Amino acid sequence: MTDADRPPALVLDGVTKRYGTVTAIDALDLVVAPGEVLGLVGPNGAGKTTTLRAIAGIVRPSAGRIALGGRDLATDPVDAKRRLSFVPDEPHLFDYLTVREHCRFVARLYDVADPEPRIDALLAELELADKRDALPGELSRGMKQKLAVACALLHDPTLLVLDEPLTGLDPLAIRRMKAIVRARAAAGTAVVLSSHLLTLVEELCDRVLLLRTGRPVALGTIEELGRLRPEFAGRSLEDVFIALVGDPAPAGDASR
Amino acid sequence: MATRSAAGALLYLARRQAVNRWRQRLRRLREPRYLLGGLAAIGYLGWIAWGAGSGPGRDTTRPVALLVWTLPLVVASTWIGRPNPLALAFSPPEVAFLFAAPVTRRTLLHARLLGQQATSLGAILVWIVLFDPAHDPATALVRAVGVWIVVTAITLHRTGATLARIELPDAPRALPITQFLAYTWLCAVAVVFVLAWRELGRLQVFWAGPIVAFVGRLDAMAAEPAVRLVLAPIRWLTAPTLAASPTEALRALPGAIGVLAALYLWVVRDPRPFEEAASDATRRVADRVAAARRGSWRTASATAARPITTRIPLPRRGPAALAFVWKTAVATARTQSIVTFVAIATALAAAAALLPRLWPDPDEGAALRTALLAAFFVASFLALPSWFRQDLRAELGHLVFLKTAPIPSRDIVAAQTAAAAVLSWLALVTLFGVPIALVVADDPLLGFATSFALLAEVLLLALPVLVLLHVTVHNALAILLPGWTRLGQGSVGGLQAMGQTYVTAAAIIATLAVLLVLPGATTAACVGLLGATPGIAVGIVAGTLVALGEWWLACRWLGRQLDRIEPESLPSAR
Repeated sequence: MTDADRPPALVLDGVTKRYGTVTAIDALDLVVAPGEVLGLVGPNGAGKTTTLRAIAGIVRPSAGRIALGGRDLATDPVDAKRRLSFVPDEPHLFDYLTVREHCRFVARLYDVADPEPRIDALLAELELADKRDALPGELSRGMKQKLAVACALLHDPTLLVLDEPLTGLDPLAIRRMKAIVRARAAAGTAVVLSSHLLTLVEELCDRVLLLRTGRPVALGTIEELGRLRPEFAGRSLEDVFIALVGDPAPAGDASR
Repeated sequence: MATRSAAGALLYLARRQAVNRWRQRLRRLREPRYLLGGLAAIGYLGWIAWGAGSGPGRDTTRPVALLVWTLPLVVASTWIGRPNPLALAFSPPEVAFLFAAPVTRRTLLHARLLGQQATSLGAILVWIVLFDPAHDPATALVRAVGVWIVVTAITLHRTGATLARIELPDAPRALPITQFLAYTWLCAVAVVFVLAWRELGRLQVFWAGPIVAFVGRLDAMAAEPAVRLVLAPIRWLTAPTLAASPTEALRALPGAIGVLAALYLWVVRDPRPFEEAASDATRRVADRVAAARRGSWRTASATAARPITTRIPLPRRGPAALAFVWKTAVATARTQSIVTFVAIATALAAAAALLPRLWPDPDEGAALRTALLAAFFVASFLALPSWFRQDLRAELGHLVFLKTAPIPSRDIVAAQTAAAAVLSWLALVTLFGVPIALVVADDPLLGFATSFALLAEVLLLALPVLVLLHVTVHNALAILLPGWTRLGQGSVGGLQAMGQTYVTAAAIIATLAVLLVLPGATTAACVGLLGATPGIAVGIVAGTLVALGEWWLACRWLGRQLDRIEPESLPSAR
């Protein structure tokens, strides 16, 4: 089955999340195709993490529908989540599970067949092989982040959701992480990542969704964003970001 | 298939966590401080279990019998007032790994219940070791099973009641039938309690009768038919725990397990979508744990959300060390509840005023008041420096900042200890000033004016310096043995850590006693030379000055030790 035959990896249809009188996400529509890398950017409080947590099934939308790989998250949550991996911004690990045991636990949770060779390969790929018997207390922040990513990749998700994936990583690890994201995308995994590192988003993402106070300000490729206004032509994502976020009037959807 | 793999994963998680936890604790015993702590803890537990606490005079049956009467209160506490969403909290890794995983809500609840079992089983084990008077393995085992059933039932009930009552964001409301049944039962329990209270009031056992008569009467009342009917679920649940023999307990097990099974089915049946509320509760619990480790009553988010009304001005000129004093005062004002302190102080003062008047024998009441106040004062004096930790114990986590500040280290030590001591002293005076004054007013040994003058001298002069020395010892321990002190957010658990706490507390008290030898001798010498008047007054001043001198020398020495600490050597840095 080609990517074109497969259902979208992620569909958000009018997703809204309200906390009392505050609207964290406001009628967000989004479709992410298999193999696509989507960057979620916006200032603090824009609703990025709430959006990612809603996609992961942790936060329940006040309105709208979320589908993962064609499965509705509200009506068929177990099957929908089987297609998903979510890496939160802070790597929360079990204090008394070693690196390898974390992987085994996740493999069991997602029913991964013959997980050991896969665990070995992933730990080697993420340079954690030497730490396979270490507890989280013995790991640096970057290593913990890499372990969280290793756990997320174990079951070959069709949608990988990464909240600030490069926090705490050294330059080598950042390069490796970028390679991993590219390789997964090339293999057909859709990736949704949020980051404040706009150069990373520019370099890695096929499309960018810019959020402000829960509303989509712009959605499209870097080139499409550059065509939103004449003055954006040839400008970096950072320039576009600052111009749009500082602008009270949303510029619209570049993909429309 | 999904359920089987999820169940396997949860069991794997529980098993590996338990094995690794014990493996790490045993490995930690290679460090002398933990070995010493472990030995101290084992000695303490052994002393409690087989030494001072055991013997024919110790009977735990009666206190345990109070379960039948206290459990309805526990049940009522979950149905009265606002439901507490914290009852739905998971651990942060459970949220990270399980909430986005392909598992059902029922599996999530099982994960939570399984996690709670690890904690409750450990507590039950300690309970049985400490309070089993017979040392009979069969009785101990049956009683452990009974206690486990009660503890698990409380946990299940708390979760179920919260799920039934809480308003979940963007989720349908719960069916009212459970709430209707619960409140009907609680009304019946309330009637039973009112009748019991009136009956006990007629017996006047609260004031005159021994506690055994009080508990015995409660037992007799629990056996009356109407009360038996109302409290039937509680009786079935507690029957194995209260059984007199293993055989009787075994006979009672089916009833208790039946209640437990009913609670279990109630909780796990088609649970409401609680993930968001649980995730939020998890974050709040993590905030509270972090706040408690900082020595604060308020979480960072609560503090941040609260409008800042406390503004303490920092003088524009003056010694740089004053900035540390200011920082400590501001941090404490914004993290501790002054209202709570004042409320406790008011309650203490009211109790001190009323106790001799309400007690049947006023002299006995006055003696009881003095004894209780003395015990509470000593306990508070010892505990408060552990509560106000906004000194080097908190700041060593920012050692790089301390080392780069353009202030001599001895001044940093002096400022940090003085600021923390002032806060502890203010708390002590707020709590005990009025109650102690009432005691002195009722019985002025040296005449009214002289007694109050001496009291003022002690509270305003000697006590702050005494607290200062105490706080300095705590800070000295942090500087000299940072591995023995809780720094920053890190903590260690286990038996050896408990023993280490005992060893540390004993070392602090012993050091403080040594430091007080010279000031005490100075005061005694003054009294010997000058007599009670003016010897006591002069002696307090002289002793205080000597203690201040000791503190200043200690600050100089500790400043040099602070200079030698490398940031990497601190436990929180690892």
